[in-house]
Parts: sequence; C-alpha cells; structure tokens
Amino acid sequence: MTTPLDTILASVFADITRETVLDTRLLTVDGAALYEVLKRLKTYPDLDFSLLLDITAVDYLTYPKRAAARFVVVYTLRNWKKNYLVQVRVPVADPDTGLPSVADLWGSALWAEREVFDQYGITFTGHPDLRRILNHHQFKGHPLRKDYDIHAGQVCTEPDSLEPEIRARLKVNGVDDSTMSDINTEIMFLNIGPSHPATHGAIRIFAALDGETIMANVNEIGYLHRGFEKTAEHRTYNQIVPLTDRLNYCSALMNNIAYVKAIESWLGLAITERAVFMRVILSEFFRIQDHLVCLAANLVDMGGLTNYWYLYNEKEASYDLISRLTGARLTSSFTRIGGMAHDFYEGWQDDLARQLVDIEKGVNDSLKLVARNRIVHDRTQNVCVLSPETALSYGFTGPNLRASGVGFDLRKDSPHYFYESFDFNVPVGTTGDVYDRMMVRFEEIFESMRIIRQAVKMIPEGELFAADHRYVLPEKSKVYNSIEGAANHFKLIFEGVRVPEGAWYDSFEAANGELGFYFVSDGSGTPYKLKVRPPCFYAMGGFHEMVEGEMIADAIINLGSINIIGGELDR
Amino acid sequence: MSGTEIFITIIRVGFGVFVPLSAVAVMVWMERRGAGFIQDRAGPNRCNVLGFRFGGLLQNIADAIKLLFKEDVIPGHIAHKFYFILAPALVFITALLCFAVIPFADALVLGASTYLMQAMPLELGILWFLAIIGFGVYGIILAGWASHNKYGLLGGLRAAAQVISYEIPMGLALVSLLAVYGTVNLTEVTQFQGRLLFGVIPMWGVVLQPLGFIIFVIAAFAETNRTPFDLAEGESEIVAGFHVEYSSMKFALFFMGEYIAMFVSSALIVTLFFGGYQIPWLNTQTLVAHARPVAVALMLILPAAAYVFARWIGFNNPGPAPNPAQRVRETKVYIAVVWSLVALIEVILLGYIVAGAGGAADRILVVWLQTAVFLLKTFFVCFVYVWVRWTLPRFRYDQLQKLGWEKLLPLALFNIFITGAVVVALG
Repeated sequence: MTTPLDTILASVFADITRETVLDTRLLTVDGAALYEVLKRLKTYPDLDFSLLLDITAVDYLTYPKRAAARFVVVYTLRNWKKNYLVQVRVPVADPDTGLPSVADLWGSALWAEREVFDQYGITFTGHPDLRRILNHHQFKGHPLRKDYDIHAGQVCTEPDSLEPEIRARLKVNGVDDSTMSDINTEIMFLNIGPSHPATHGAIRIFAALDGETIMANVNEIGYLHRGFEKTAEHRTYNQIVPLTDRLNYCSALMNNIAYVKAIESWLGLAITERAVFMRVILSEFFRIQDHLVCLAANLVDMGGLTNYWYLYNEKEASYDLISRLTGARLTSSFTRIGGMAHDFYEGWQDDLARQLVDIEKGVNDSLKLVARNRIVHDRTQNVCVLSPETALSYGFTGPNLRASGVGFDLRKDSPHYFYESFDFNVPVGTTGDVYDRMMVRFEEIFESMRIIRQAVKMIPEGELFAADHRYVLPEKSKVYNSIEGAANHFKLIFEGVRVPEGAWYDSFEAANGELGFYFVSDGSGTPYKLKVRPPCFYAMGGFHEMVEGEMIADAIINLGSINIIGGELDR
Repeated sequence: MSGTEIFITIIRVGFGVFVPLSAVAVMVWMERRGAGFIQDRAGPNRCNVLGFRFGGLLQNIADAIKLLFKEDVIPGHIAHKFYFILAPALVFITALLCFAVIPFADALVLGASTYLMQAMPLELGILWFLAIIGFGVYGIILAGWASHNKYGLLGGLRAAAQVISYEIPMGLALVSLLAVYGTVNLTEVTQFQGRLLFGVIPMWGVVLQPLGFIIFVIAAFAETNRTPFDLAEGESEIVAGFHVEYSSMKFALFFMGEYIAMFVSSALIVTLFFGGYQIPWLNTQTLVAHARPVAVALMLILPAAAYVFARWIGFNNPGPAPNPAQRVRETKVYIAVVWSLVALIEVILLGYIVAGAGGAADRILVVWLQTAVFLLKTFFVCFVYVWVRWTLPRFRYDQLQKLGWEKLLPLALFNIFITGAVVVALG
C-alpha cells in the first residue's frame, strides 16, 4: 500500500533504496550521503522528522548471511505529528573513520552517538564530546561487538574527574576565567551524586556553581549498567521477559508488554482479546504506579514528605493487589509471547475498583496540599523550563514532552490494543516547567483510571494465548499425553521461539515515554541483537539544558520531575 | 540568703534547665507520632520495656542510647577540630539559655519578698532572648565552615543569610509589640495580658497585634530552621547541610538544640501573644483571692478529664498487635497509673482545702496552676510547628530572602507606624 509518506520519500530520495518493515520505512544509504539524507529528513517541511528516537549499530560478524559491511548504524526517526517512522541504515566501512555526527541536527544524537561509540567503537566525526557513556572510562574494548570476550573481567578503579568536560561546558555558556576575575569570584564544583538522596538511584550530576546558581552542568551515568543488551543476545526470547522487568522497575509490566508486543508484531501473531484487555488494564495500572512513585519522590525532593505518604501508601496497597494479579509485587514477568502467564483470580474486578477509589483519594489528598499551595507554585512554575523545540531535539517523549506542549502520545497517534476505542484525553502542558510535568502526571493518573474502568467493563472471557503453537506452548494435557505436544513443548523451551530473520523496530507508550525495541533476528530462538530505546536516557541527555542558569534546589526537583529510572537509563 | 530563697532559686533554675531538656523527648515523640497521624501511618510504636511502650515515648530512650554509643567520628579532613566541636555545643547552649528569661508563672509573693518565676530573673527580658538566639546561628555557620565540606558550607551560608533576613522583621515585629506593652520585661508583659479589653476579651498579644503576630511567627519558624525554612539542612538538596559531617552525640546536640529552640520560641510566642501563663479571665489576683473554689473546681475537673483520657487509652492502646493479651494488660496498667495520679492530686488538693488554705499555700497553688497552663499552651504551639512541618514543602533560597526582605520587612514597618499612631492617639 502506498501512503503519502511513500510518495514523499519517493520524490525526495528517488535514488535511495527504500523498504517497508512493519510500519517503518527503511532507507539504506552510504556514509557519504548520510548527513544530507538525515538533514533532509529533519528539515523538509513535508518530512519534518523532529524526533531522532535512537541510534544504534549492528555487528554482523557472526550473522549467518554475509553482510555488505561488518557494522551497520541504524537511525530511528519519527515525525510525531503524522506518525511517520523512518529508519536509516548506514553500512560502516571503517569504524575508526566512522560516520559524520548529526549532533548539530538533533540534541539526542549527543548521547546516542556516544553510546554507539562506547558499545561498538564506531567514531562519529564532528561530535563535540565523544566519550564512553555507559561503560567506565578506563574500560577496554567495545562490549556489544560480537568478538568481545564477555568472560574477560576488567577492574576499573579511577573515577572520572569530568573537569575538562565541565570547563568546556562553561566555555559554551560564555563563562571563562576573565568573567570570573571581573566579578572577583571562583566557581565551585559540586558533585550531586552518584549517591545522593535526590538521585533516587545512582547518577552523578556535576555542577559548576556561582553561589547556588548552576553555571554549567555535566552528568555521568552508567552506574547501573549491567549489559542488558549483551545478556539478551544469549537468552531465548521468552527468557528475556524477566530481564525487561528491570528496565523501568517502577512499571515493570509495561516493559514486559512492550517487549512481547514488539515480537508479536514481527511474527504477525494476533493475541486474544482477553489478553489485549488484560494488557491494557495492567499497563494503565502500572502507568498510575509509575506516576505515583515519580510524584511522591518529586514532592519529597521539595520537602513535602506528607505527599509522599499519601501517594506511596496507595502505591504499596496497589503492589499488594498486583502481587495477587500477577504473582509478584515488583518484577512481574507476566507476559509471554502470544499471551499472558496466567489469568486473573476470581473477583479481581472488585479489588481493582476499590483500589482505584483509594488511589483517587490519595491523589486528591495530595493535590489538595499541592494545587493551591503558593510555596509549591513558586518552587515549580517557570522553573527548569523545557521548550518544545529543545524537548523534541533531545528526544524527550511521554509526559515530559507533553508537559512542554507537544501532544504526542503513541496511544493516540499510533493506536494499538484498541486504544482508539477508549475514551480518554491526553493532558498537555503549556510552559514545560516542573509544575507542568507534575500536573501532566497527576492528570494522566486520572485518565488512566478512566481507561481501566472502561476496559474492566469490556473485558471478554476467553483464552489467554493465541492458538499458534509455533510460538505458544501447547496445553499441558497435550504435552503429557501426546508425542507431538511433548516435542512442541521441548522445542519451544530449549530452542526458544524461532523468530523469522529480519530487523525491526516497535514501540510502546510506556509511563516515561516511548519505549522502543529494535531487534535483529537471524532466524534462531535468541535475538541476534536487541536494543532498547529507553525514554529516560534521552531525558537525561537534555538535563543540562534545563538546569543551567537555575539553582541547585531547582536541579534537584527537576531531576525528580523528569523521572529518571536507573534501570532503564543504564540498562 | 534565706533557705526559702535558695530553695526557690534551685526550683527556678531546675525548671529552666530540665523542662526544655525533657521537652525535647516529648517533642520528638510529638513530631514522630504527629507525622504519623498526619501521614496516615502509625509512627514509632514498637519500642518497649517488658511490653510497656508508653505510646512510643520509649523510642526516644532507645535513640538516646544509640546516639550515646555510636562512634564519634571526626573526619580526617577537618582542620579546625576546636571549632568543629565547639559548634554543636554553641547551638545547644544558646538554645537552652534563651529559655532562662521566660516566666512560667506569675511572680510569687511570699511575705515581704517577691520571686520572679523565671530561671534568670533579668529585667532584660526579650532583649536577652534576641541577643542569645542571634548568637545561636554562629554555631550553625561555624559547623558548616568547620566541616570543610561543600554541602556543609552551603548549609552554613544559607543559615547565615536566613537569620540575617529574618531577625530584622522579627525585631521590628517586637518593636510594635513592646510599644503596646510599654516594657521589655517578660513578666510584666504577661501581667499586662491578664487584663481584659472592653471587659470581655483577654488583652492577649494576638488580639492587640494580629499583624505583628503573623510576622513574628513566620520569623520564629525561620529562626528555628524548621520546614518550610529548613534550607540550612535541606536533606534532599544539600544532604543535611551544616551537620553532614557530625555523628553521635555531636549530632545529637544539634538535634536537641533544634528542638529546644523550637520549644523556646513556642514558649516565647505563648508569652508574647497568648498571655503566657495567664488563664483567660482569671488573672493572678482573682486566682489568689478565690483559691479555695479554684481548688474545688480542679477536684471536679480532674476526674472528668482523667475519665475521658482513660477511655481514650482504653480505646486506642489495645489495637492490633502480635500479642493482644499483653496490650490489654498494658492498657490496664496505664489506666491504673492515670487514676492513681489523679487520686494523689485529689488528696493533695483535699489536704490543701482542709488544712492549708489561705496565705502562702494559695499563692503556691496558683504558681502550680499557671505553670501547668503555660506548659499546655507551649506544647500546643509546638504541635503547630509539627503540623506546619508536615504540611508545607520547603522554600527556595532566593524565595526565602524575597519573603523576608520584600514582604515581611515592609509589613513590619507598616505595623510599627499603625501601632505608633494608635498608641499615641490612645495616649
């Protein structure tokens, strides 16, 4: 089917190979043409790909089929207004020469290119600050290369001083030694974190201060890097589900759902309606949990501890309900390819309805303390403002982007799981300050409740699993009583779900923004490559733009308001 | 110096030292249980000796023991150990000294001599308080500086800036108040508030100086470094600020200093604005003149109050517990203790009515009554501190300055003009 996008692409990129993979248009270009192609994609008004979602690379060293080049870099771009998704594939002839950097087109490329450099050793010429990002600066080798020896342990001892980086950042902001001597003062460097009550995990925020005002800020992440993507290359598709729990552990189940949804879309596997509704109910319920945690922590950063209890008490009670629904409080691992692990218990609807009422009460109590509180208004309004342009450039998605006034929500713009048939609104902020980010989350809690209430009314009875036994385990009776069933079970467990060869990207509106998975399959039961597009990695990449010129106390509440989750940030 | 004089001096000094110290325990308990109450949770209620928990009060003793036995760390990077150690002591001592001038009962007249019921019977009154409480912040600044830690330094700086900006509105609020009272002596201030306005309303500071009251309370909150003005500590921003390097009893001194300062400023708010030890409509002369009926009334009120209190204990204490039988036994003991205390007081009052009424005994009874009223009022204001802490979030450094300089200072000046005009007009 030819869509308007195909027509435009055909006219703009007539001489470039174009393919369609799921809902993604795939352009394959060579390194020399790359910058021009990406620039056109961003700047042509018809194309307007304002979001650079992700950059990753694939190492085809051990791939069964010979590839043109060992390394291929993949850019994922989105036009949020028209829901166009384009991927640009570039074979890299020589990783040391690398590719031109696109950091001047999109801010998100700054960190994305650093990650590719770190994991694959591909250089980006023209990048202002090409350093390792997830791995330690003393680390040798590039872990996601296929010839990296995962058993060779490395001991890294020296902390990164970050002083050259922050001095460079000070220069960018127009602060040099002469201005300092003019006003007869010195800049104080302050480390906030990696271990600090406000980092809610381990992130290092390094700030250059004049009094309490932040003149420049550089951040170091990777403290929670555990090689999720490398591990995934050694697990079968279903074995990766528990690993996804640990991405955004505040809404573990949404990661499970996003992950299996990505595989199911590639397989073309239609799951049953009951499973769809269960996924909608659970993901909205987890969205509420995620926002409760974020808001509670954010208000604690502001000194409002009572709000924390009003929100967290309900989160705790919800976790009890979640453990009854899914069998685990935090790391649910509740989805399987083609369905859900098991059904809900009898009478879950009443418990869920009751819990929603309790959450509503807790959130309203907290709102009463916040909504008309002058101190809260002064602390949050017009503080750490993120303009829509900056937000898009740095690849912000989800509530953070919507708070800046960009009404992009995959549930509305790229509907899946019957989201188009639910009646709900997408709250959008006006200024993109901390207040908007908080209030968007408060409102989303209420909208999610509406979706859940509608879904609970509509959920049909029926099977949990699709009936396709190429991907889904057979019933136990068949496993025990027939040789075909036993063999089917054996193959699926030992070899994993065999996924047809190919490479694809699929995304999901997680609590924090667009959670994308990019897979490369070689046709076996384990992914050849799996890349996560974590929403808060890109939010953190734009953190310095928000806090420079503000005060320490603002930076602290801003960090809370963009909801950085270490598990997802560092993978 | 006569025996009575020595005895009364000991009583006064003892009151001035031990009451704030014991108040720390009560206030920490009030803070924790109050926070629990406000935040929909229980608060500390497990710590016990032989199953007796005293509503969570024992937690404080456990904490005190923990702090005493903790290692007293002086980090190696600290160059000025003397100042590092001096700082907590300074905070603690100044807080305690402030209380010395606050009258907890009306002057006791025994025969020919009059004894002021305050630990240090100074004429300076409020000036002493201002002088000493301003000195307390040196402890915080010194701690921040001597810690040789960036967070500590930021905390110290914040404290310094905060105190400078808030002492001025506080002082100005007091100026208008003193114009009304016409004295700096706190006993006289309280005696003034025993009078009635238009014969019905007690002439409390809060009635005469509502604006001054608001300014003073805000400034007092800022002076005690309590939320929403706890920037010097700012645990989510600068990780405890000035006391980030302190451990063990040195930390405990800061901690106790904060609570004593809170108790003292509550006591001062009560003294200046809520009539101090005065019972509304019953000033000292009235009480002394009608000591016998007052004692009878007390004998009637006490059992009634005790009955309500015992019912409340009986209703709340058993609760869900690992050992319900123990909880029931505990509750019975508490109720028995309450009733035996009441019985003891009843006996004393009865003895007073039968044998001792008239003369010195009347006056001593009134002193006891007024002390109790004073403490009751003070603890209520302390609860307001707790209440505010668990309701409001924290200011930002520059917003705090703005509030102090741009709002409170002009308001305080305006208040002085208004008050001056009224005082002059009324002669």
